[in-house]
Amino acid sequence: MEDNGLEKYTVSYGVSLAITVLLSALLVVFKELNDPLLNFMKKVTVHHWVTHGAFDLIVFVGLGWLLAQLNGGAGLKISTKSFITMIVGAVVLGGLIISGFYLIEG
Amino acid sequence: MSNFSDVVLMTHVLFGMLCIVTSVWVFVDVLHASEANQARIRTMSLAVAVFMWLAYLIGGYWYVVFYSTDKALILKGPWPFAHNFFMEMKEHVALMLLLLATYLPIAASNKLFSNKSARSVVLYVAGLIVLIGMTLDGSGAIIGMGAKVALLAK
Repeated sequence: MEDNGLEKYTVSYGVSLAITVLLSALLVVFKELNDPLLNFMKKVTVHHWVTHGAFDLIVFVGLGWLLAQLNGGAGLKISTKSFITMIVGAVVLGGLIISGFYLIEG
Repeated sequence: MSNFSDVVLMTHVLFGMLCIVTSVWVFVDVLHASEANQARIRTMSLAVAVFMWLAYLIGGYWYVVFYSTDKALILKGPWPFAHNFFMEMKEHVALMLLLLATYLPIAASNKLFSNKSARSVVLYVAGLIVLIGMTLDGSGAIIGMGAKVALLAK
């Protein structure tokens, strides 16, 4: 794979960002359509939104660290074009999932 | 009490706007990246993250503690979509923005003046922060209007 010269944490946390954004958007749909999950998230902290934010941060930090340990600690290798497409695509898709859901269900 | 709620809300908006403006700064500085402005880009990228975290924490406090009154008012008023779409969308897209802003200083830790890939990543991330930030800022204005028209309709 192409060596783009990016530091390993830049790549690992960028990929983690893309995955977390999509998981977060899917969690919006699942929690709003699933009362037991929503009630569970309300019980974990003072508000389901606070729990949602904590979930996002834990996944982002944990996954970014894990991905940086791959390839014997060298981290992920990915082309610049694929990397940027992944981040922008995830943010756009995540935004569309959230907006589309509330446009239909709101 | 109402004044305190307003101060908290306006402080949230202030830090949100500072996050957007600072991201524009980073974007423009990266377009002209050199060894001379590398340290400034990193400092301003960190400032984006700090401003966004402050906006998130202060806005989150206001949302959890004070918003329920406004929410009930908006839902009974002529603009229920101000909550049902704009607030619901805003509170969740803001989490994406928080992650992007947190990531920006990580991306800016590369040697931007000598690495075109790193410059591209920072430009895209800063650009996304600006676009999403402005969208959320506009959504906040619509939510405020939702409360205002509900009060006027009383």
